[in-house]
Amino acid sequence: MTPIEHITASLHFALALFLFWTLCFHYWRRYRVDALRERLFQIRGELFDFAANGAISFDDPAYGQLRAVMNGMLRFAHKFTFSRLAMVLVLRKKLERLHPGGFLADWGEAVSRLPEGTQKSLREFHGRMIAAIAWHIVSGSPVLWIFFACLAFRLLAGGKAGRLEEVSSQLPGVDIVEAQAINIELQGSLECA
Amino acid sequence: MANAAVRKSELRYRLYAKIIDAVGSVIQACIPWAGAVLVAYFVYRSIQSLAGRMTLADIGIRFLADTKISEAFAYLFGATGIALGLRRERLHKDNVQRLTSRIKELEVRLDPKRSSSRLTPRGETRPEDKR
Repeated sequence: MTPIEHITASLHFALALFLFWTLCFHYWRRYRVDALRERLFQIRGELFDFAANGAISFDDPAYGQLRAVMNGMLRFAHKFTFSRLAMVLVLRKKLERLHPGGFLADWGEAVSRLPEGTQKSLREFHGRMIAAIAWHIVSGSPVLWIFFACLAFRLLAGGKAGRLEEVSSQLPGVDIVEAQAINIELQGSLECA
Repeated sequence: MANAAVRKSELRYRLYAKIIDAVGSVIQACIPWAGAVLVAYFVYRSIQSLAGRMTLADIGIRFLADTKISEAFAYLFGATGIALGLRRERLHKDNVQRLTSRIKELEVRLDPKRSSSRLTPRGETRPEDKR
């Protein structure tokens, strides 16, 4: 290969890398956030239908709070990344000490006052939302693929989870990421009011 | 006294949340740029060996002249795919915008206190939430 042929090949490689970079970090990233939002909108729509069919009142705090949580997740879907999850895991103990339970504890209490069937359905909606977010975070990071595979193997083999969806919701730190999104959402609502 | 302690821990919590958000944003922005710098480095290194022997225009002309038809088709294929993806995305968002107002109107009839995700009418992140 002459030097100029070598350079042409290198430039082709660089151009292909640049296009691949644009695809991965711009379009693919945007698509992933849109896909997560689509899944969350679908779950929120099903929750609305559940209430519209008379299973729960629209004024019930358990419904209102779960919808508010979903709104927070929809609004901040672009912030659910591996780097933030890693930071949450690093500061997990401090965050739990400063803000134990909070909004999620209130929601759990509101749900526990409902009939058993309704409780189960609401927890299922919540679980599906968490699973969608956890899967979004995991699928966006090659580092997490390995971690998730190990966690899935451990939980499935140990009988602590029956489906991949259940593994996703047990991903460490996802609960705190959720609590954070809710807090930012609540702060936003207070500022708007 | 107890209120002050709660307030203090609340402020601390918010501070940690801000730190997480700031560091997360920086990392999220840095990863793609690190990739871009690597690509730029590749281009620089491949051209550097010809410094003083050929002009950039020479290199550009040779690059275009040496491009094979199969390579040109590969680029065309990729570019068409991206253009198609963008058109589909625009179509999807137009559809979201068209349907959202109707869904909202119908849902408000059943639930007057209906809360919103506060995304834009096209289902995108609001500029103030991007930070």
